[in-house]
Amino acid sequence: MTDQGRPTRREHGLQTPADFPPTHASDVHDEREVLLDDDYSDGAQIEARSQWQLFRRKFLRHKLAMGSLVFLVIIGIGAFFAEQLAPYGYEEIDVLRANTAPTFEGLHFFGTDQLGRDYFSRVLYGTRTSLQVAVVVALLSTAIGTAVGAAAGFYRGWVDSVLMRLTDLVLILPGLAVLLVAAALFGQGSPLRIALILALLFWVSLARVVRGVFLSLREMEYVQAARASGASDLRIMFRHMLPNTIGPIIVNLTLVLASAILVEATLAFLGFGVNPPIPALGRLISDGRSSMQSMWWLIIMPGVTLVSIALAINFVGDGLRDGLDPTQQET
Amino acid sequence: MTEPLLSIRDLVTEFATPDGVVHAVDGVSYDVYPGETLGVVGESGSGKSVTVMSILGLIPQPPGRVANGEVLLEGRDLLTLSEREMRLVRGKEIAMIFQDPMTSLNPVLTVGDQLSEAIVTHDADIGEDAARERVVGLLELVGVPNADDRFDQYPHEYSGGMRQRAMIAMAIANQPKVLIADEPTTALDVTIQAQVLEVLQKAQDETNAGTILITHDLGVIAEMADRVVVMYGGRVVESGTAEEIFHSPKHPYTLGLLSSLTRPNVDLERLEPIPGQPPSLINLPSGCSFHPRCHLGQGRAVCRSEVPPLLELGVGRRSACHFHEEMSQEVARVEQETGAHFDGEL
Amino acid sequence: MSTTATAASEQDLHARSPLGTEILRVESLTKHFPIRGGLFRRQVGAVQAVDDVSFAVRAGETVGLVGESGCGKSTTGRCIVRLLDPTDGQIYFKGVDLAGLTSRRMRELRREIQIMFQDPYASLNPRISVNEIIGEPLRIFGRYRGEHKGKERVAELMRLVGLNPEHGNRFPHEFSGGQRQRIGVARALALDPQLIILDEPVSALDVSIQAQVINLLDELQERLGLAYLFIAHDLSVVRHLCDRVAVMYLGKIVEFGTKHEIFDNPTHPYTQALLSAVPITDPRMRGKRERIMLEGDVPSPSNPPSGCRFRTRCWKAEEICATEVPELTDRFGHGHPSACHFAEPRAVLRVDPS
Repeated sequence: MTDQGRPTRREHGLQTPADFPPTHASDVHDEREVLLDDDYSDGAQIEARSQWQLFRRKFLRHKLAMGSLVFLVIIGIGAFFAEQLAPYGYEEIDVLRANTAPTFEGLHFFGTDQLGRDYFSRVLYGTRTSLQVAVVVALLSTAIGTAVGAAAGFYRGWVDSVLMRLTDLVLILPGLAVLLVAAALFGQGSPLRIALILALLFWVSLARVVRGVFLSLREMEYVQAARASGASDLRIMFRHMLPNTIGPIIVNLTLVLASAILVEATLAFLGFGVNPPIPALGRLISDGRSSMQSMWWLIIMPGVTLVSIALAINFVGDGLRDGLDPTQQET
Repeated sequence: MTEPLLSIRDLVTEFATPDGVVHAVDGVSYDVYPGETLGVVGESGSGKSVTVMSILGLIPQPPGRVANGEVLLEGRDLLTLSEREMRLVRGKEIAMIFQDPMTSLNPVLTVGDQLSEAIVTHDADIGEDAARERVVGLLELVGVPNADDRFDQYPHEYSGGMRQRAMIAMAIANQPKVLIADEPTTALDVTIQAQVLEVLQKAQDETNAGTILITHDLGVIAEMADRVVVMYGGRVVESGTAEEIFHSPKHPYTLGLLSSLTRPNVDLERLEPIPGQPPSLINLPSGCSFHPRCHLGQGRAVCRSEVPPLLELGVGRRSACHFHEEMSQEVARVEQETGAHFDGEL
Repeated sequence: MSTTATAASEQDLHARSPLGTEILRVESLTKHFPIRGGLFRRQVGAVQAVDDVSFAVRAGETVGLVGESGCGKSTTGRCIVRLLDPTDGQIYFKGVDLAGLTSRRMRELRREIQIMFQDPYASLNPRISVNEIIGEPLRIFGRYRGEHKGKERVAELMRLVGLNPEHGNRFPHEFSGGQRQRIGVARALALDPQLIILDEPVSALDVSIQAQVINLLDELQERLGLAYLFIAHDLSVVRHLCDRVAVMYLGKIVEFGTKHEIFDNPTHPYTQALLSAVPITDPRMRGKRERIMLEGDVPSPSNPPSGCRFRTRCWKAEEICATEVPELTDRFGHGHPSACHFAEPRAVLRVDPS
C-alpha cells in the first residue's frame, strides 16, 4: 500500500471485454469462474419476454375481458360512425310508422317512438353522446387525479396536507346535489360542459389511490437507488414511480368511464343533461318512461345498451388489472 | 435403532402450472425417530417445505396434488385419512412451528386464549381454569417471563422472540409425537435465535417428540440436528448424521453448500460457490438434476442420462451420486482451494 | 475537525486515493426520527436511530457495520449517501464536509459514493430493462450519449459482474435473485465510484448464490481498488469480507477494531454475547462452547436506557453504567476501542473441539 505501487485511475478502470471470456462447464477451475454464472453460456435458460408480451398473454387469456373489449370496440366504432351507419337521422320523423315495435322491416331494429323516429338510430346517436362525455370525463379526471396524488405522495408534508384536505372536501360533497346545481347553473346542456363538471368531481378517488401508491413506492429500494445516484425529482417521478402506478391508474380510468356513463345518464334522466334534440342514453330512458307499459322497447333498448356498456368496461378493467401487475406471476 | 415414528415413503407432490406439471417433491423418503432432531436442508425450491406440507395434508388442491407415496405415523398412512381425521392429527399428534410468528398468531385474540383454544380443541373436557393453568405452565416452560400476566396480552405486546416462544408453547401444548419447525428462527436476530433454539431443544426434551427442523441455515443444522437430510430439486440427495454430513459429505451438492459457507470462527482463503442457479422445477435437468452445476461429474454421460438412485452406503447413510466413491478426493481438492478443513476444526 | 483544514482540490476528489488513506470520515453522526402525536402532530419524542457515531473508511478496505435489527446500521449507511438527512454530525469525503456543499457539488461528489441494497426484488424497477437500469446513473450524469458510448459501457459493466450483455434488454423479473444482485452491483459501479455502501447485499440469497456474490464483491474490490462499507447482521460473512468491524447496539458503536480484534478478542460484553450466539457450522463443537444468553429484548430506541445503552441486558452492569455514558476508547490497552466501563477481552469463538 505504498505510494509507488498505487494504481492510477486509468489502471483502475474497467477491464476490456477480452479479459472476461465466457465460462464453460469444463473450465470451472478457472479463477474467474465465480464471476460468471452459467447463465452466461446458456442464454436459452431464460425465455425473453417483454412487458408488453407478458401483458398481452395474460390479458388474452382473460376471456370475459377480451369479449368485452371486442364488444366495446364494435359499439365504439358504431357510435363514432353513427352518421354513416344509422339507417335514419335522429330527428327524422315518420308519423306513419310511429309506435312500431322492433322489426327488420324498414330496418327499425329497435322500433320507433311516438313520433315515428327510428329508435335504433336514436340509441346509436345517444351512445355517441354518452361515450363522448364519458371519455372526456375519464381522461380529464385521470389527469387531475394523477397530478394531485403524485404531488401529494411524492412531496408529503404540507403539500400533501393541503391537497388531501382539498380531496376530502370534494369527497364529502353530496355528489348528486352538487351535480344537479352545477349542471343547472353551468351545464347549459352542452356535452363538454357537463363533462367538465363531472371530471371536477371524479378525480378524487384516483388522487387517493395514486398518493397511496406513491407513498409506498417512495420507500422502494429502486427509488432510493435512483435517488442515491443523483436522479432529479422529476426523473424519479416519471421514470420510476409513474410507470409503476400505471396499473391502478388504468383500472381506475375504466371505473370512472363506467360510472361517468351512468352518472351522465342519471343527469340526463333528471333533465339536467345534454340538451334535446341531441339524444343521450339517459334522456332516452327518461323519455321512454311514460309509455313504458305499452312500448317496452323505448326503455329496454337504451337501458340494456347502457348497462352492457358499463358492464363491459368493468370487465375490461378486471382484465387490465390482472394483466398489468408485473409482480403477479402466472399460476 | 428403534422403530421410526414417522416414515415418508416415495412421496410425490406435484403442482399444475400453465407450463406443465411440476414435481415439487419427487420420490422423497425419510424417517423420523422418537426424540431425535432431523434437519432438512436445501435451498429455495428444493421441496423441503412442500414435503412437510404434504405430510400435514396442507397442500392447496388444486393446483397441488400428492400423487404418490405413503406417510406412516406409527404405521398408519396419513395420506389415506379423511380431512376430518387429519384435523385430529394436526396439532395433536403432529404440531408445526412456522417461520413468521407475526402472521401465525391472530392479532385480535390474546396469546393465552389462542393457546387455550389449541388445548381445548383436542381435549374438550378440560375446564377453563385447568386450561389456563396448563397454558401458564407452558409459557413458563418456554421462558416467557411473568407468564400469568402475559397470558392476557395480545400478540403485538410480545416481541418477535417472545412470539416464537409462544408458538413453540402452542406446538407442544398437546404433547405431539412429531414436531415440525419450518425455518423457526429465520426471521429472528442472532441473539434471539440462540434463545429460541434453546427453548426448542427444551420443548423437545420435554415431549420426547421426533422433530423435523427445516432450514436453509447450515449453522442452525450443525447446532441442532442429530441426523440430516439434504434436498435438491425435489429429491433427497444425501442423508447421514450431522457429523457425517459436515465432515465427510458424500454428495457434491452438500460439499458445494459447505464450500460456499462463510464461517464465524475460521479465516477462509476463499469460498468456492456452486456455479450457476438453482434449477427451475418446470425444466429440471435430465439425469442427476445437479449435473449442470456439478464439479465432480464434469459432464460425464451417465450424470446427464441417468437419475442416480439414493444408495445406502451404511446404516442411515445415503447418497444419490453416481460417483460418490470419488468424494474423498473431491473434499481434499476443496480443502486445498478454500483453506477449510473438513475433518479438523471447522 | 482537523481533516477539513486542507480541503482537496476538485481533481483530487475524483482521483483514486492511495490504498490505505482515509477517504470517508463520519463524525458524531446522529439521526433522530421525530415521533409526532396529538391533534396538531406536534413532536412528542424521537427515535434515536443513530447517536453520536464516528468512524472512518480507508481507500481499498472493507469496514463492516454489524448489529441486530434496529441498531441503526442501515440508517448510518443511508445518511452517508444522503438518502436521509443527518440530524447532527459531519460526513467528510476526503476532507470535504458533504453537508456544507451546494446541491450541484453534492451531486458531483455523490457519484463517488454509491449504495447497493439488500432486496434483489425491490431494488430494481420492474418496468425498465436491465440496460436502462445500469445505464441510468450514466444518463443522469450526462455520460451516456455520444463520445461516452454509454451502450458499450453498460455491456462492459454487465460482463464485469458476470452477466451476458446480450441479456441487457430483458426485464428484472426474468433474472434470478443472484443475477439481480449482480445487476445491482453493475449499477453501483456505473459511475466508477470510490466507495460503495453495501446494505445487506447477500442476506436475501441462498447460501450457494451468496458465495457467488461475496466472491464477486471480493474480486471487484481487488480489481478496482474500491472501498466498501459493509452493513450486515451475518457475522460469518462479515468475518470473511471485512478488514475492520464496528459493532453497533441501539444506535451506538460499542466496539471497533480489526477483524481479528473483534472476532478473537472482543472486549465489549455485547460483542461477546453476539459472537457466542452465532451458530458454528461444526456439529462437533456443539455444547462445547460457552454460550452467553442475553436476557430480554432490545429496549426501544425512542427511550434508550441512561448511561450505557446495553446495561439493561448486561451481566456486568454496575451503578456507573446507569450514570455515565461509556466512551468509545481503548481504555485498558487492549489495542482497540470499546465502549464499556468494564471492557475485558474474552475469547468466545476460539474453542478447541476436542
